[in-house]
Amino acid sequence: MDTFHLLLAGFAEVFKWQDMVALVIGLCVGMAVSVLPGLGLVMGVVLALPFTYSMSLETSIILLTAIYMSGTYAGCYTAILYKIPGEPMDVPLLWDGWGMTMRGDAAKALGWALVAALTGGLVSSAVMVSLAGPLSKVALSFGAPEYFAAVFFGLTTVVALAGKSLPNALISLCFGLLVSTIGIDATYGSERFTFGSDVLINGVPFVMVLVGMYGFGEILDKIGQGSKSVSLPAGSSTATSLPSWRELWGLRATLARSTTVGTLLGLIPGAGATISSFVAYGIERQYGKRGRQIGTGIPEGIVAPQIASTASVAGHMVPLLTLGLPGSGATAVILAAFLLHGVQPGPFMLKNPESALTVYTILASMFVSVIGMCLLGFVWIRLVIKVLKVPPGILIAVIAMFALIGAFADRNSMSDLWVVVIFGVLAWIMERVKLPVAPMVLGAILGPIAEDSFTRSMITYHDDWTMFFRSPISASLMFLSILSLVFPTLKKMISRASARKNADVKMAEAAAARAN
Amino acid sequence: MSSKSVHGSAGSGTPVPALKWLRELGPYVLIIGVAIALYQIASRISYTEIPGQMGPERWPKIIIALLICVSGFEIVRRIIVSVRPRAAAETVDDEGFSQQMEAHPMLVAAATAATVGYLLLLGLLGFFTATVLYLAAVMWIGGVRKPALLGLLSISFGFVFSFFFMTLIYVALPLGEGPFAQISLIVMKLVGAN
Repeated sequence: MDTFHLLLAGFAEVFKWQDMVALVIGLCVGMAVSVLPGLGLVMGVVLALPFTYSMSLETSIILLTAIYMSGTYAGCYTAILYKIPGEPMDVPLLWDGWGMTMRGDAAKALGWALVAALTGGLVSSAVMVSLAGPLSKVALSFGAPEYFAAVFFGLTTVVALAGKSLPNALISLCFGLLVSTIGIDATYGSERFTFGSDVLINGVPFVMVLVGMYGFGEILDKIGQGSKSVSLPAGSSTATSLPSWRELWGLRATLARSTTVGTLLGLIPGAGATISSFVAYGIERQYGKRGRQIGTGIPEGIVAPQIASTASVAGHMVPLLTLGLPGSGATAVILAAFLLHGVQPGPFMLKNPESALTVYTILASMFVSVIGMCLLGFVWIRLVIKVLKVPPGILIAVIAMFALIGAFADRNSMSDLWVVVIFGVLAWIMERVKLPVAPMVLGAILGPIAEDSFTRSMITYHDDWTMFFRSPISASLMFLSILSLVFPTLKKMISRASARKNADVKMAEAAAARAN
Repeated sequence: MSSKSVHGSAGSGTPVPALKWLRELGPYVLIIGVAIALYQIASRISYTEIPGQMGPERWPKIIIALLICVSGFEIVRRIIVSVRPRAAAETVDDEGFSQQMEAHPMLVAAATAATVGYLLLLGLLGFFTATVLYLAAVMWIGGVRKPALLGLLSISFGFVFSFFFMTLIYVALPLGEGPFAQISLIVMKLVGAN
C-alpha cells in the first residue's frame, strides 16, 4: 500500500471507539497539565504511561501523543488571558497575547492562537507523513556504525541544547548512560555495578527513571515553590474570535515562516517545543514585516511561537517512529510505551504491513488530535481553567498518588517505587545545582541502544573506531555531532570577545569624555 | 542566583574564600572521586575474554573517562576564571554548581520524608490506610491546614484511588497486616474490588 492508502486506513483505525476515547482523554489531560504552572506536558505523558500497560499499542501511543499535542496548545489560554504561562513554551505568547488582552482583544488573541495551532499542527503532520517513508528507507540502509552515529548525534544535540553549561549537560548525560549500564550486560552476560544486590541484577527500569525524574521530581519542585494559589481575575471570558480570511492572508509570511521553523526544529533532537517557540518568535522579530512592533501586542507575536511549538510535535514523532530515536522528553516517554509493549520503533515497522498500519494510525491520530484540541478548546477549556483555583496542596497530593501507584502498577514491585523516589530526589537536587535533567533521562533510555550499536560496530570492525568516520552517513552524523558540541562553545567565546571589546570601547570613550 | 554571589571577590582579584571554593569545586571533585571508584569497579567486571574483542567493561569505562575529563576540565576552568583579574564591567557566566535555593526547601524535605514513610508503611498498613495518611500529610505540607477538610479529602481520595486502581485497572495493592488488612478488605468490598 502507498502512503496515502496507509494513511486512510490509519484514519479508519483512529475512529474506532477505543482509539477515539483514548484520544479525547489524552487531549483533555494534555490541556489540564499544560495550563497548570509548574506541571509540564512531559509530566502529563509520564503520569499517563502506567495506565497504558493494559491497552493495545496503538491506543496507548494515541493517548500519549494526544497529551503531547494538546499540551503545546492549551497553555495559550492562561498565558493570554491571565499572563500565567503554563509551560515555558508559552512565555513568548504572553508578551503579545497579554498586550492584546489589555487592549480588550483577548478573544481575537485566542482566535489567532487557535489558527496558529491548527496550521502548525496540520501542515507539519502532513510534511512529516510524507517524510516517514523516505526516512525509514534511509534508516534501513543503516549498519551498526551508522546507527551508533545517529544515536550519538541525538545525544550530543540534546546535550548542546539542554542548558547554559555544556559541561554540566555532559555530566548529566554520563550519569544517564552509567545508569543504563547497571545490571547484566547483554553481550557477555556479566554483572555490572550491581554491588551484589539482587534488585539491581535486572538493571534500573528506565520507566521508573522517567516517572521519578519527570514525575516525582516535578512534584518536589512544585512543593518547594510554596502553596500560593493562583488568583484569577473575575469576569474574564474564554470566548474565541477567529480572524477573517483577509487577516489570515496578511499574515501568510509569518504562517509559512513559523511552520517551517517549527517543523525543522522538531527534527533536531533536543530542540523541543520550547526552543521552537522562542526561535520562531525571535525570527519573526528579526525578519517579520512588523518585527519591531512585536512585544507590543500584535498577532504575529502569538502566531509565530504557537505555530512553532505545535509543529514541533510532528517533527519529533517521525524520527521516533522511523528511526526509533526520541528527541524530547515526551517522545522518550512514548518510546518507553513502545518498548513496554515489546515493540522497538524503527524502519522495520514500515516493512511489515501490520506494524506499518500502526505507524500510520499514530500519524493519522496527530491530524485528529490537532483538530480535536482546537474544538475542545472552546468547550473544555472553561472547565480546565478552574483547575487553577484548586489549592496546590490538594493537586500535588493527587498527582503524587498517580505517579507512585502508576509506577507500582507496572510490575507490582516495591523496589520500583524506591527507584521513583530516589530518582525524583536526584532530579530535584540536579535542578538546584543546575544540572539539566533531560540529558540524564535520554542517556538512561538511549544508553542500551548506543552501547549495543557501539559494541556490534567494534566487534564487527575489530576494534577499529575509524569506521565511524568512513561511511558517508555515519561520518556526516559524527561530524554534525562534533559540530553541535563545538558550536555553542565557539559562539560563547565569540560573544564574550565582542562583549569585552565593547566594554573596552566604552571605557575608552568614558576616559576620553572625562579628559575633555 | 546572581553570578556576583558565586564569584564575589574574583572580579577584584582578591583571594576566593574557602567556602566558595568548596561550593564551586566540591561537587566536581566529588564526581571525580566517585568516577574513579566506579572505574576501579568496572576494571573488576568478570567475563570470558575473547582476543581482539572489546569486553563489557569498555563502554562504562569510556563514559567514566568522559565524566572525569569533563569534571576535571570544569575544575580547571573555574580555577582560571576565579583567579584571573578581570575588568569590573566583565560579567561572569552563571554556570556550574551554583546553588539555587528554594523558597521552601524544608517542605521538599518533609514531602520526601512523608513519601519514604509511606513506602515503608505500605506493607504494614495496607494501601487504603497508608494512602489516607500520606494524602493528609502531603496536603498539609502543601498548605491545606484545615483538619476537617484534610480528613474529609484524604478519606474521599483514599476511596477514589482504591476504586480507580483496584476496581478499574486491577492493580494488586498491599492489603496490610492484622486489623489493617480487615480495613482494606472492607474498603475493597465497598469499592467493588475482588
